[in-house]
Amino acid sequence: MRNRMKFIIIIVMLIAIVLTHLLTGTFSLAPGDLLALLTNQAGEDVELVLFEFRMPRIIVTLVCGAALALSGLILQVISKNPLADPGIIGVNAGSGFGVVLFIMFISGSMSQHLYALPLMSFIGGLATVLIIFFLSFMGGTFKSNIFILIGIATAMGVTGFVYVFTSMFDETQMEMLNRYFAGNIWGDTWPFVYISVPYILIVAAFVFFRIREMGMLNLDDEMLIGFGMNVNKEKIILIILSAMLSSLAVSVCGAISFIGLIAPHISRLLFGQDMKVLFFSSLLIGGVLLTGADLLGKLVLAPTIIPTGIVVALIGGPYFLRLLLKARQI
Amino acid sequence: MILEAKDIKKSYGNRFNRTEVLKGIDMNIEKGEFVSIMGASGSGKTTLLNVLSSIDRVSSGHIQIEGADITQMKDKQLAHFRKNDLGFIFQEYNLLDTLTVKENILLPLSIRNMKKDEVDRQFERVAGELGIHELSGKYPNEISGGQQQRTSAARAFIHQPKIIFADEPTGALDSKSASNLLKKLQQMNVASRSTIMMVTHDATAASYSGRVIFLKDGLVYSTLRRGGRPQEEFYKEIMNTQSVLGGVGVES
Ligand SMILES: Nc1ncnc2c1ncn2[C@@H]1O[C@H](COP(=O)(O)OP(=O)(O)O)[C@@H](O)[C@H]1O
Ligand SMILES: [Mg+2]
Repeated sequence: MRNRMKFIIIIVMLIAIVLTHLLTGTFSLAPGDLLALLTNQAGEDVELVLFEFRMPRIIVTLVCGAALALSGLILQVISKNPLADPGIIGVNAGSGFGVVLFIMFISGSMSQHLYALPLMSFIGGLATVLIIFFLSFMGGTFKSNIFILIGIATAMGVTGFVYVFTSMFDETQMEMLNRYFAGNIWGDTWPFVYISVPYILIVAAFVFFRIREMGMLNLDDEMLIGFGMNVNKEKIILIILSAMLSSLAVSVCGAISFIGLIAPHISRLLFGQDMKVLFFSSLLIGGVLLTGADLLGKLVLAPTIIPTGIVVALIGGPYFLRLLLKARQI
Repeated sequence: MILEAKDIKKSYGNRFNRTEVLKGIDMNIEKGEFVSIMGASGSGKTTLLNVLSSIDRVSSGHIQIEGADITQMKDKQLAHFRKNDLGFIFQEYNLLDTLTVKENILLPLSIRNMKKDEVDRQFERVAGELGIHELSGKYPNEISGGQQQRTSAARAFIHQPKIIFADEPTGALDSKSASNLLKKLQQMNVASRSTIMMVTHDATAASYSGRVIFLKDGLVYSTLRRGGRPQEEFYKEIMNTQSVLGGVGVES
């Protein structure tokens, strides 16, 4: 029952954030406008702002936050390391590399090639995670203790590559890349909702059916092998799902770190270790965190907008350091 | 004969840097035996147990379990074989904190489709034999280390495996809980005619078994059989062999 109460509080927070989001911005609305919208009496400008600008952005941030959180939860389960996060281990860098290739070879702006950019970003992120994963598989067994370190090293290497390429960029190209790395929610229109949200939901559904296995991965590998579980296969499936979730998310959201670290961590603090509960609470808290950060970025220095990724990093960085110091291990 | 190992070798490393841990081990285990494997730290006890139980692959040699050569089996076949025919106990209890004692014990059954009344029957059996009943609704963090390891043992026996492999099962226990667990293992060995193979570096623990195999430098150094002797006498002989072997008993 106490868990239910906590869930209700989180959902109320989420609703509050979403409502504030809908009502605030350069064109601020009154609660009455929302009611008018529901009863089909709203003016065209209100409808435009809500439907075309704010709704898709909220949906994208909500779902991407949830996806990043679930991706982080999976990585933490597989690596048996609570500090794992898709951003920290190089998904963002890999996606960034995809973005660089896009800018270099396809276009310096995203208007004509709406889908090519997220696609390249997705492929870049996915490829990076797979590389990291196979590097940590050297010697036949997955070494979770070095997984994170390999991830950080790979992220640095890929970032290096990114900068090599950027030396050839002009100003507009550079600005575009910076928009990605700052974690600007660039995919904030309906087409981006359509190309990301359904896939994220499908992948999350696949993860849902592996909750049992995820819970069991807390046991030592030898024990699971003894149970007849194909541990390596299980880990590969999960890591691919995790990589898909995070690279889908950053391909429309831009480089966002730390959500995958913080959301599962808060979930564990609030709800304990039950994997099914963690699955849902991580999704919710991930959504709250990213929509919340987006809202803060919009309101704190209004009318100036702070990129969402920067807000997340400003909060997430110290949080990560605190965990790191507490754990004294990587 | 339930297990027959012929000239098994196992080495780790790559082409340029190999260490041979097992250098040609022969071993025959009869059905229903309780065998201990002893040896200095790093002598290859865990490695031997892992290859015999198919958790790890041999570099060469053959292992037959009830006539089937497990070194020739495909991964999928092996997984199936482990699931049905083997039980494991490790030094770490390996219990899930989110499950009750009973749920933990039933974990190996939950992976297969077994009827509920059959599941209950199996649980009653091991819970009775291992004295788990009063613990069954508790969570691992609410019970002692000894009780946790008994839970872990019950889980190993739940699906009536042909062989139980135990790697230092008493390594983390105080001597009272250790002897309690070993007595239970001994009873299970007699009552259900299950074969038990246990790695230990503790002579007292080994004295509960019927045969002790000593490893040294990747080979079988000697074998002691208890026969009809009292446990005390067997213990002394194990201690003697250990002191001749040297360096045993100091496990890091
Ligand atoms: N996965 C491995 N890779 C490389 N060397 C290993 C591996 N596992 C064990 N060894 C080495 O094999 C030797 C025997 O180890 P082990 O079987 O664990 O000994 P014991 O259980 O008797 O203490 C040790 O020297 C250890 O360093
Ligand atoms: Mg060992």
